[in-house]
Amino acid sequence: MRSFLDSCIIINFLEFEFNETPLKKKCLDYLSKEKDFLSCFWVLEETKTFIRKREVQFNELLRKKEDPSYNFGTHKESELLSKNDLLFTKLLYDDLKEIEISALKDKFEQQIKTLKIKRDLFLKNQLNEISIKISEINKTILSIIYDFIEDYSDCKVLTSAIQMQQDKEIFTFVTADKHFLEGTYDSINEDMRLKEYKKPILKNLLFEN
Amino acid sequence: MTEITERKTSEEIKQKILEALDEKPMNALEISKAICSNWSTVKSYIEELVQSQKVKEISFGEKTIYQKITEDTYFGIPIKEKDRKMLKFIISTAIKEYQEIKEEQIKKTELAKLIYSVNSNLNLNLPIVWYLYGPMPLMVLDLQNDYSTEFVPSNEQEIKKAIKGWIKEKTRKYVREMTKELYMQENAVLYDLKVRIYDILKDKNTGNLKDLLREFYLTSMASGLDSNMVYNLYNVVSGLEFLKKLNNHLGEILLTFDGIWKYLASKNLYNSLKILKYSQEEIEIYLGIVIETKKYLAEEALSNLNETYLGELPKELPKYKADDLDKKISKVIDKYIESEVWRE
Repeated sequence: MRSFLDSCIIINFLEFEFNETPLKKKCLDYLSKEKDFLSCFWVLEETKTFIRKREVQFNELLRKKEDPSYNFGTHKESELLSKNDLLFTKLLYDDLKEIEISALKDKFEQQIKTLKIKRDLFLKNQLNEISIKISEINKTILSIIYDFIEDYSDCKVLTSAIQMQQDKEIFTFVTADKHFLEGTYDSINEDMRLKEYKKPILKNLLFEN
Repeated sequence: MTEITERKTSEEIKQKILEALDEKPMNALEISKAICSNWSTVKSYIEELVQSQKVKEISFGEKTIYQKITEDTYFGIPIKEKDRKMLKFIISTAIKEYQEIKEEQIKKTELAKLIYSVNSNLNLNLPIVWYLYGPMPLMVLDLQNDYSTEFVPSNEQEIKKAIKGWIKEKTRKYVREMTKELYMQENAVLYDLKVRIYDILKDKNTGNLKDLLREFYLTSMASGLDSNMVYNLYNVVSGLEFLKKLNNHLGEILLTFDGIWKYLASKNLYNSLKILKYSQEEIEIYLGIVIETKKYLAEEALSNLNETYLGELPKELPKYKADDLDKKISKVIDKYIESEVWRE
């Protein structure tokens, strides 16, 4: 069966080599075992933004290292980061306080390069189909799903997956996200407003052993 | 209104229409109000002016406006007659003085910088804009053109002194040094970086290309310009460098950077016109299509370069060797990923 990939699967896969965790391993195994993957442009955008945010977080941290009086979030570039993104940047800064700036610079550059190239390589070699432009995400389906799932970004991914599903054999919607609970997904499946739409099968690696 | 119209000859009315359009593009009703003539009279004369290619008709949906065709300004952007006269005076004086002092012809780039300097020092408020090579007057600088004028400004001596002073001061400097000095004075970091990136790409010496592009990206972002394309170019260049393929694609990178710079410079021109108090609507008329075209060309070049880069990617990457620092970083980053705040 074909698999539609949510952003978090790709991100966990990209992060695997930096530090193995059971969830990252599950994502990697899934991508190694299965072959036919599809996704949407929103996922592409999210994974790209994830890496860009990471780059900005690292830059912010280096600015603070270079000048301890620097206030996080005051550089123009950091406009891309939310308050919570900045909060994690501060946590990271505290954790890395003892490390030399030159070692951090090298490491950050190495990590960002690796993330970017791995993502590009994944898109080129492993994704067989990418569809549903961001501007084409169906607003009606999106607002219905938003009644069930509070994370708007998750809603966009699932809406794109449902739109892609319509002219295809049933595929698996693969995620590793706490918002995609089985009960919630059942409710979406049963909602009368979406009864005309074919839906993919949910597979949430976060809740699988 | 009709009474006044009857007293004017057709040539006089056409001249009045052209003078009104010197200020800004207008629709027929606005022109008729500006020259105190009735709408139908104005309309018929405008049609004649359009046919004789003195006026351009621009339609947006049901709205039609008219723009005077000015051949002596960039993109046909109108300038006030008093500014035109002053610019002609400065240009013709500068050409003459330069020839006398240095016994050679002034270069276009020098002329642009001279006008910028004289304008700034004497507060002349001339229409100066920032475009591809820095500040320049809106009037086209072509040394083959005839800029002679009978106009003599009231501060003639002061202007001549400033022109001579500039030429003498710059005698020992190359245009390149003058340009750099100007960029530094004006804190035009983006323009300075642009020159350095072009130099690197032309000299095929890629040493710090990636770092300069990163700096260029941050500066364009800080200047409020559309920095997305620069970021994407920086990514491709970093990728090619990582793959050790950068030197194979310098020509394509130069083409792409050139396209992006032309687009960004046109946005700078747009911002300059705003500072000169041209209305948003007018600027859209003069530059809207120009900017869209430049953006399209830059995107196309970037997309081609990206294809090239993707083609260079290997089947697999060598395995990343994580160390303790990677694990330390991941301790926080893993929590960050799990929290999903990155999706906000």
